[in-house]
Amino acid sequence: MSAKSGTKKTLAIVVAVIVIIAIIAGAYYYTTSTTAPMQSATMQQTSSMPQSMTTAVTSSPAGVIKIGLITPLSGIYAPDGTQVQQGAQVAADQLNAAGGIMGEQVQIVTQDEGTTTADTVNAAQILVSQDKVNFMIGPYFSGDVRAVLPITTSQKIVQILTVSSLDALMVPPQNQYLFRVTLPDSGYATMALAFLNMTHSKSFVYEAEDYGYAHEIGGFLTNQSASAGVNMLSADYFPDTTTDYSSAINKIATLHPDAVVVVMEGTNGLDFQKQYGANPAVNKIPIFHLETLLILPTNAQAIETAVPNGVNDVFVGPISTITSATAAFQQAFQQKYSITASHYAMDGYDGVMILANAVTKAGSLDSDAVASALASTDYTGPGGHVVFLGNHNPTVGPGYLTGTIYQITVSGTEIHYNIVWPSTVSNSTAVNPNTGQPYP
Amino acid sequence: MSASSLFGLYLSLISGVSYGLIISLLAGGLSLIYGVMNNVNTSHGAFYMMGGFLTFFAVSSLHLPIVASIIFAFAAAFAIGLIFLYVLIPKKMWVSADPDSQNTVMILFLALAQVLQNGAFIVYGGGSIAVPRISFGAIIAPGGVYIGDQTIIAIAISLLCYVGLFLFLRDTKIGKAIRAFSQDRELAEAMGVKVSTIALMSFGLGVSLAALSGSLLSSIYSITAATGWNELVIAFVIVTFGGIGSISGSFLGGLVYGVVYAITQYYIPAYSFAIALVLIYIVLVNKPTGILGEIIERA
Repeated sequence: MSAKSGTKKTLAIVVAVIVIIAIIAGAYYYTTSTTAPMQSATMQQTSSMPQSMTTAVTSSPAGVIKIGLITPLSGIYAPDGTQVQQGAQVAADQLNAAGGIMGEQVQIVTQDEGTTTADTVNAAQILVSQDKVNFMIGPYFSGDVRAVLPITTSQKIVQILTVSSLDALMVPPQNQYLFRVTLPDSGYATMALAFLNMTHSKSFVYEAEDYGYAHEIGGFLTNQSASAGVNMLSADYFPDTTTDYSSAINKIATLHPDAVVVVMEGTNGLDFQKQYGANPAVNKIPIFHLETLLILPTNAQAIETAVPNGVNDVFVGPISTITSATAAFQQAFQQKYSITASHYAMDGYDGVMILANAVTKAGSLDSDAVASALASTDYTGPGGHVVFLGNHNPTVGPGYLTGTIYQITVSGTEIHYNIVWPSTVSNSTAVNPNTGQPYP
Repeated sequence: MSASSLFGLYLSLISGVSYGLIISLLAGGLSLIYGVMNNVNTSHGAFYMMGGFLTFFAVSSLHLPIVASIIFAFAAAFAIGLIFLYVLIPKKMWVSADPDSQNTVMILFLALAQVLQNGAFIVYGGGSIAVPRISFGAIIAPGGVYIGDQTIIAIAISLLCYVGLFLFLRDTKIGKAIRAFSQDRELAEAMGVKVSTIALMSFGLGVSLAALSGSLLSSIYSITAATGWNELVIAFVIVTFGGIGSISGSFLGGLVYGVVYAITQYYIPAYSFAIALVLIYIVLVNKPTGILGEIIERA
């Protein structure tokens, strides 16, 4: 080998090593970076321990109760997916510290949901056939839930959904062992309607990403708004890869709605707001972003830098519901992971705790007994007060799961998130962007 | 067609021309690199993203005014592009008609895109960057349509770049060499044109245009470390449509893409990208070299 080719080979190896290190470091950073929602309310800290914590059996563990968890640990949803896992782990740690469930330790067995439905089905098969899990939490995406249901129902695995929001999943017979602890799409629509009511809007346009859940929300919103006498002027769905919304925003200007409701959960929502806030033809029309990245102050600040007052008076609605247990959980989570908990973590925590309560109440691991106990759940955790309906969706509405609506105000370089709904936790009154005055 | 539908068409035309002119700058750089080097720069979208981050760095860390920051991003991307070309790509592959070599370079550029993307993640995290506008305000076009100042500036700079590029390629010695090289490599080499100089200049300029595009658009669209892949696809579509290697084709392709995209977004937004692709497919079926492309004989 000549010296020249040797040098090239060394150079190639060095470059390859740099590439691999960069990819691993980037992936690690990405999966551990925080996606913290702003919780500006100061809540009284109370215990969120389920009943099983106080009545834990003290005998030595006879075995392990395995809870399978399918959540994205890679790809662009990894930060949120990791929070589900971390929230579930906090619950397992607290349960085990108090003696476990019926004297048995709780183990969270996690599988990456992957980037395709085939990955998820594979993950479910491993959890059910190889790991022999007793229960399952997840998957994260509704399409993936649908794909694994044949496996879980055939094995009578009780399954808790902490992220998937599609109402259409909760129908017999597939919902026999399927329970949801997070706000369903119908709840998103209820939040949007609360915003329209708060802003006294008689007409609105609906701008959403082109996903099944957004279509389902649009469907609910169509029906609910019509019943409330609010006119939906248009409902447009955009591929999530869209960056330029100038044509869509010009269309809004021509429709003259009283309000705009947006469902774009990724950076597409930031693109939309950046262009919406910069257009004087529309930027005084009240706008509401459901489940948006705008809940992160850094993202709101990024828009504010480019577009002065671009986020001022904007309404944002994360689906987390603030309860008396929220602050205590956030503290425990912060201590364990040094990052702020998002609602994904809270719902992951609640999923495990609700299961633990049901197993304790059933007194066995039998799926039918646990499902029956779950049906009578009445639990308040950091993510909300969960009482299941007949179809195993959670009850939506005041006192149960509501989501939270904030209105952003900007003063100097400070971004403030004021809670304007629901009234049980609100600390501010909604302001009309057009007049700068509170709504009557 | 009703009056409101016609008005929608008018609105879409304005939006589409604006968007097309802005995005064609990105495509122009890709076309320049391919036209000269015969290599597909799959890291082009990453340089678009990097342009935004370099501007952000200049504004927030160097405390430069926004105009100086944009110039900084353009120049820094040129230098960074050259460094990566030197370090990553074997010199004999810089310009090559050999398909194996082209595939290797394409994969190496993909790896480079990953490095740039993850580098941005490590340094700045996953959030959207905050870049101020050169000017904040809007003009009102006939019919009451608002067009932001920054959009007007981006359009003006895009047009200036195309004019500058045209004059550079037509009137300067190195520009003439680039044109001669892209038309007949062997003859150009026989006349004393240096392959390495041409490749370096083309690649540096190409990625600088991508970075300039990202720099200008970072205050209109959101740019995060994950940005770039979608823009790469759009640039490919425009370049293919306009004619691979044709600078003027990229300009025209960008305009057509922008207008088609905006019109479909107004009427049937869910299919805006798909319909733009279908129309471009129809054009390519009838003229495989793109609107202004020429048949290139490969050795």
